[in-house]
Amino acid sequence: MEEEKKVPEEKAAPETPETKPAPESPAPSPAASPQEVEEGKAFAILSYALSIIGLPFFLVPLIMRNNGFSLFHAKQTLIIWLAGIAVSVAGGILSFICIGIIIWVVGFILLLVLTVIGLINAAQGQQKLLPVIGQWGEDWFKGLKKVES
Amino acid sequence: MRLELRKLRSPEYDWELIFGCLYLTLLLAAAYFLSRLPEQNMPACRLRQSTGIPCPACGMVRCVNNLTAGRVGEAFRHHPLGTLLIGAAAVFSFYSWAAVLLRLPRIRLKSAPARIKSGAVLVLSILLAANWIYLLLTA
Repeated sequence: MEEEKKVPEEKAAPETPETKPAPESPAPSPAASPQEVEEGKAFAILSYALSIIGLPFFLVPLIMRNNGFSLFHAKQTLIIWLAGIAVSVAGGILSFICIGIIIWVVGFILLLVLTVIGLINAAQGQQKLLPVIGQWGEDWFKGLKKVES
Repeated sequence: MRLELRKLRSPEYDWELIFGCLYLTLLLAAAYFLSRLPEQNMPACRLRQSTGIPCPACGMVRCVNNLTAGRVGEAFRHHPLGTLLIGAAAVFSFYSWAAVLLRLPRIRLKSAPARIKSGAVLVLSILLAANWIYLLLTA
C-alpha cells in the first residue's frame, strides 16, 4: 500500500510560471492497513462488479463504514453512479436531437471503462483514485469517514 | 508548455491503455456498429423533422458510414468536425496500441498552463459553431 502513496521524484527545477506545479488537491482517504485491505476487498470488488449489472451494492459498505478500504471504493462507485445519472439526464434532455444519443454512447462507455479500472484497483488491493472523476468522490464525500467500532 | 517523451512511472495511470486502447477503441467500435444499423432503427432528429434546421450532430451517421467505406471527402462533406474528431480518435488509438504493445516511451505534456487549457476549449467551441454554421448553410 505504501507504494501507492509515493510521488515520483522530480529533479529540482527553478519555479517559473511555466513549471510551477498545480495547487495540490486535498489528500485522499488515509491508506488502509493490509489487514483492512484483505477484509474489505470482497465488498470493494462487489461494489464495482454489481454496478455493471445495475445493482447498487456500494450502499452496503457506505452504510456500514467499518472498513476504510471498502468505504474508499464505495465512494468511488457512488461518484460513478452520480455521473451515470448526470449522463442519463443530459442525454435524455437532448435526445430530441442527435446529440443525446452521442452523449449516452460517449458517457456510458466512459463509465464502463472507469468501473473496470476501479474493479482492477480493488482486486489488486490498491487505493487509487479513478481517472477523471475520482477526485470528486473524495472531495464531495469527505464527510463519510470510517466509524471505529 | 513542453512535450516530453518518457517512460511510464509506476504510480501513474497508463492513459494510453485506459483512454486509447480501451475507451477510444470501444467508442470507435460503437460508432461503427451504430452506423451499420438499418436506417429505420435509427432515431431521427426531431429538430430537423419539425423545423428543418439540422442540429450540430446531424450527419454523423452518414459521416461514419462514409469513413468506414474509405470515402473521406464524402464524410467531410456530411460532417467536417465529426470527420476530424473520428480521425483524431483513430490516430490516438493507433498510437496507444503501438505504445502499449511495443512498450514505447509515452508522449506527455510537461506543463500545461490554465490559459492553454481554456484556449483549447475556446478552439473546440469555435470549431463546433463553425461546423453548425456549415450544416445550416448546406442543409
